[in-house]
Amino acid sequence: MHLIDKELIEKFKKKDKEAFSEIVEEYSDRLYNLIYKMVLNRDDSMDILQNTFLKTYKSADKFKGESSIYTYLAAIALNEARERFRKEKRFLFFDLDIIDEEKQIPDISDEKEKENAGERINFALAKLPESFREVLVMKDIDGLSLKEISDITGLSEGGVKARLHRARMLLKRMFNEGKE
Amino acid sequence: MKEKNECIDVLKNLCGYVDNDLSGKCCEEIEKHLRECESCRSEFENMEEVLNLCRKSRESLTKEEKKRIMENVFNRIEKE
Repeated sequence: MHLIDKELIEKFKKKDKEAFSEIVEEYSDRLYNLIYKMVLNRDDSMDILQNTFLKTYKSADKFKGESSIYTYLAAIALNEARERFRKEKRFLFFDLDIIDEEKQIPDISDEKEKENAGERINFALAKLPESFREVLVMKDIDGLSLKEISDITGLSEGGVKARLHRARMLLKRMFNEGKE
Repeated sequence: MKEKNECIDVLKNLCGYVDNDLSGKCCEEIEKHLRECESCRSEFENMEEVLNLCRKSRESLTKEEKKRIMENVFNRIEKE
C-alpha cells in the first residue's frame, strides 16, 4: 500500500500531476466502491468517479488539509452523485434489474459467498431512501468514522448517529423481506 | 411491562452497542439483557449478520477500467 504523505499532499495542492496520479491510483478502488454502493449502477459510478477526480484536481489549491485527502474526495463524490441525479431528475439510483421484485435473493451458503453477499446487500440498499443509504454506505461499507461522515454531510455527529440507526433498521427489514 | 420497556431501550441502543460507542455499564446491561431475551438477541444477531455482509460486500474496477478512467481524467485536465 502506498503512503500518501505530507510532501505528496503539498505537491498535489500545487497541482503536480504526478502527485495527483498517485492519489488517483491509491484511492480509485475504494472510492469506486463507495460511489457504486450509493448509486448502484456501474456506468454512473464510473462517470461520477471520473468527475470526482477531475473536480478534485481543479480545486486542489483549495484543499486545506483539515480533513484527510480521502474525506475530501468522498465529499466531492457525494456532491457529484447528488448533483447528477438531481439534474437528471432521477430518484431511483439503481439498475432496474437489481430491484426486480421477482428476482430471488441468492443463497450465500455456496462458494461464491462474497459475490452473493454483495448482491443481497445491493438489493436491500436499493430500497433505502437516498439520505439513509448515504450514511450507511459511508459508515458500514466504506468504514468512515462518524466524525468524517459529519464533516462530509454537514450533519452533527448526533444527527449522523440517528440517521444511521434508522438506516440500519430499515436495511435489516429490507434484507429480511428479501429472504422471505 | 418492565421487560417490554427494557427491550425498547436495548433496541434503541443496539447501534451504539454494535459500534462500541456506549459506556461499559451500558454495554454490560445490554449484554445481560441479550442473554436473557431471545427476541432482542435475534434482532442483534440479525443486525450483525447484515452489517457483516455490508463489510464483505465490495465492488471493484477491472485494470482496464481503472486505466481508462485515469486516461480520461488526464485528457480532460489537458484540455481544460
